[in-house]
Amino acid sequence: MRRFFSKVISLIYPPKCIFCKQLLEHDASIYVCDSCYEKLPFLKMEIMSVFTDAGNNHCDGVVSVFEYTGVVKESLIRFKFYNEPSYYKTYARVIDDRVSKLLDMNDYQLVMSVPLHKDREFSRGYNQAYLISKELSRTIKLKECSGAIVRSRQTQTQSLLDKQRRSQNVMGAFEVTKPAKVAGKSILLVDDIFTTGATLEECSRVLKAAGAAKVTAVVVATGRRYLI
Amino acid sequence: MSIIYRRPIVSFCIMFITGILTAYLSNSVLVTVSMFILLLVCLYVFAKNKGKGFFVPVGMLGFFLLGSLEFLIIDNVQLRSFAEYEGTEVAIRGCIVSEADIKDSKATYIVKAVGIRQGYRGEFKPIKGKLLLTTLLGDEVTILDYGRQLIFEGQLTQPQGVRNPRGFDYRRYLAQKGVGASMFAYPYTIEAFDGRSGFSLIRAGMNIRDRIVHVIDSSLPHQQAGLLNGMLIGYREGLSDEVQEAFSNAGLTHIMAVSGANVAFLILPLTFLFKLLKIGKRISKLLIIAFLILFVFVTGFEPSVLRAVVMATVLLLSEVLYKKPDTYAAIAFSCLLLLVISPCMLFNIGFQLSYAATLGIVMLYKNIANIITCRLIPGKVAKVIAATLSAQLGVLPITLIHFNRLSIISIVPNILVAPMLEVITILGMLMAVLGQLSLSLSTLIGYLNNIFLSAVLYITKWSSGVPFASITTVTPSLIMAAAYYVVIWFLFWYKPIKGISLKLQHGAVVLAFTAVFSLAGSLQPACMDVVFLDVGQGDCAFIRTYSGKTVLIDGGGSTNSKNISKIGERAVIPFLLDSGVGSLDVVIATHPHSDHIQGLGDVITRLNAKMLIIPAIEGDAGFEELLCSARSKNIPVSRCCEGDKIRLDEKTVMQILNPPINWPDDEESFNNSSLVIKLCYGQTSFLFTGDVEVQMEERMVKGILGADIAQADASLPSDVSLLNADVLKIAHHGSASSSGKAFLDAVDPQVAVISVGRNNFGHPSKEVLSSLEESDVECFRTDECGAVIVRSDGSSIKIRRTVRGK
Repeated sequence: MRRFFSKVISLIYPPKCIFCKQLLEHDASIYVCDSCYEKLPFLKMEIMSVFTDAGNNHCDGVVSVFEYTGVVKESLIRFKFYNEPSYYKTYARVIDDRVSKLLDMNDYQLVMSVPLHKDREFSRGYNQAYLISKELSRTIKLKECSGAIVRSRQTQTQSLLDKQRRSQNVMGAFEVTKPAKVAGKSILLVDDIFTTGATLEECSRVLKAAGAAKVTAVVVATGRRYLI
Repeated sequence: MSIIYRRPIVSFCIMFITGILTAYLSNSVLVTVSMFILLLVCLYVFAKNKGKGFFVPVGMLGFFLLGSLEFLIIDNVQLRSFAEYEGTEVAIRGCIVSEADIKDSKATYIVKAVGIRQGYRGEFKPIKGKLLLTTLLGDEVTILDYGRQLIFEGQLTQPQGVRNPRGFDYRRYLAQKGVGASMFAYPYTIEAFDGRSGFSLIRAGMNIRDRIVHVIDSSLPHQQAGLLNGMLIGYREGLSDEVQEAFSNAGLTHIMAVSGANVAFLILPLTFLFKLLKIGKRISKLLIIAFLILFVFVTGFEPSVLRAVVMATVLLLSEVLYKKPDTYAAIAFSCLLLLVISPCMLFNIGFQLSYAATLGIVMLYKNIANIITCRLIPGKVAKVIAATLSAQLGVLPITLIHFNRLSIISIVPNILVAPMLEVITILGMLMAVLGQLSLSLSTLIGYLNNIFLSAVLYITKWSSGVPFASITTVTPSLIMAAAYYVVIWFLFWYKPIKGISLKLQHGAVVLAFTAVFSLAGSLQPACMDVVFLDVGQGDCAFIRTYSGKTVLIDGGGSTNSKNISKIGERAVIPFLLDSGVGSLDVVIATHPHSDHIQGLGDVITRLNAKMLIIPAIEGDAGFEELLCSARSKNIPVSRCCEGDKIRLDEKTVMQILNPPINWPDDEESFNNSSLVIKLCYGQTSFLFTGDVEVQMEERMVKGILGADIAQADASLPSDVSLLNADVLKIAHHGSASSSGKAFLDAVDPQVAVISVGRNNFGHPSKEVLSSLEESDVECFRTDECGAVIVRSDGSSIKIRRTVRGK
């Protein structure tokens, strides 16, 4: 029934490449056309660390699929700021491929996303990280638990700030409202972009403080190379 | 071809339409099934080669089959449920499923029947189907409302199909609404009950509409209110025919069709409102969808509204489901959904116009806007022009086919009106909402809105009054229409769109095909066609000679000169235009009776005529109006009598056999003043007799026998006597006062045509019918056969009837 339903849906909303918007065949499993797929800036397979100046890494590692450049950059901007939430499925798929290869899924119990402040989520209409994490939790069969953490303070947009100000900006912005759910768990923390790591680091800090055993961040793309 | 795997819903939609058309054109299960098998083989081979799975081909076939079978079932089974009761007196039990349609002193309802009874007593037998109930209105008759249960008695009739070639199909028109029969019942036979059934949502929609109409009517002057009601909810009852005609001439009718623009005007303020109320995006979209569905109920299920609402719902749902919307898929989905619900909707004019306009805008708007923006036109004006032009280009063949009218001026009023539409609609919605609280509020806004509405009315009247604002055109053939769309496609879409490789060669192939088809059409062997039109009780015959000369003999009309029958506007002109005749070479009025000449007045006013022929009688009695119309159009008038000859072309001649010279214009002898015309083409001949009576018939027989007027003519075979003809149009609709034995013997026809409709004169008479039978003459009656088409190739004749025999 679910498959039939999703077939009908894909008839009414035919799949299009999330990078060049070209129409794809109706049964495409991943919404990327062949010519874009060849051009995608895949990142070298590795688990990065956050390396903050404070030295004390709360985040135990970062897995990123792409470099934040070219078509991926344009696509992520549309995804986040130009009301294109439909891209989440494809991003979740490529993340799934990557984490299944790099990490042992048996080590993790939860998938969570970096929360948005409720006002920001209202005006955008969706939380892009949550959409990915929800889909990812379905495909890798882990529990989704984004409800356990909220962004209690409205922060400025990170991308408009320099490196130092970013850490200050997110300091104390997150709050774990249901510590019991994360206590002792190993968590995959989903976000869209990883640059300085300030957001991921702060998020990991509060999760660890609430008792999380391990926090590994997974993101669609990283702009780290270009920052150093 | 791999295009079918991308956006397969478009292929499904096209196949569904193909299925309906196959079933419609062939009306046979056999043809449909063989077409299905052909497609099956094609697609199987194709899919096997491509190796992409069978989902799409199977879907396409499935929709083809569904479309054709659904249409065949509805057309042949559902609508025929009343067939066995046709013409009998029955009582029907059912409930009203429409609002009363009130015209003049009659009210019409659609009734869903649940039981039928023959005679006055007995049990009701269960029946399923809808019928059209017409009844008289009077002081003591209440108008019945939606959902009312009732029993009524009367004679059941089946709606008429096509009566004239390519004519109006009343049966199919009603079939679109699911109606398979009609009945007239006197008010005293209608027994309405207190109990009501029906859907409360439909009733709620009607109530809301009534309230809106009431508020608008009471806060604006009459015409302005009528216009606003049309623009807001498509309710056009308040507009007079002249105003509607003016809108049509100005090319502005579309502003009164509720469509995409109205839906957009509804969505925007609602989105804004829900945002203010801090309602989440997804929930607010769902609420808007609910509102749109209510809007469908308020506007009453017009195809254009359904299309707009389904497409808007697809768009809004995309935000709820986090999907990327696609315009073409949305169009195809809405089309498929509407047609699956009711395949007959494909033949609805509103449906066709709505989709053609939408596709026109979607496909052409950007290109046209780009082309005209680079000139010295400001961007905003360019956008309006582009939108108007692209929609107009999309609907052009459809408007020509259905209305035979081309509004040349339309672009000007559209540009002038476009900026006001938004303001009017939004003010109108405010009026409709606030007016529920207080009429003075809506009246207050009405003062402001009145300015804009009056401006629109003024622009409409002004532009429809401009000379040549709109011209009457002949109906383009389907091949022409198809060629037009191909040309448009290539002019504006020739740009390899992603994933679709559209090559110039493909277009060239299509155009070549079209050219071959149209050539093949024109290469048909030269023939003369004579069409005896079904104009009810009256005469009308159309002749097209082998070289394309056109003649109209009489134009039908009402038997009582005081009634205006509009048969010319309704049947004769549409027939002529559909046959590609915009200008007639000769128009003949046989004699001054209204059932022969009333329709001619309409014809010579709307179409061009090069010559009008009337019998040479003393004075103009009875012809005054016709001659007046002819004068105003500068049409030369000839008066003909016995002995005159009209050569239409090398092989075609008309000879006048009656009236004799100097016949008096005395009203008693009008019938005998009839022009009697013998038409000869090669070896074949036709005799048109008007309403001539026995007295004159005998005169002609004697004249022929005396060989007074039979002069040698090179184009006529000399051994044929002048009265002798292959086809005889029986005089005076088969009256006993004509068609004497001597005359019939002298003419000695193979075929007789009686032009007759429902009448109180006893036409055609039994005497005439039996003497035709005795003489072994095959007889065709227009009341039984519809129009009778006789085709002559110069040596033999072939006869076709429009209504298939029972």
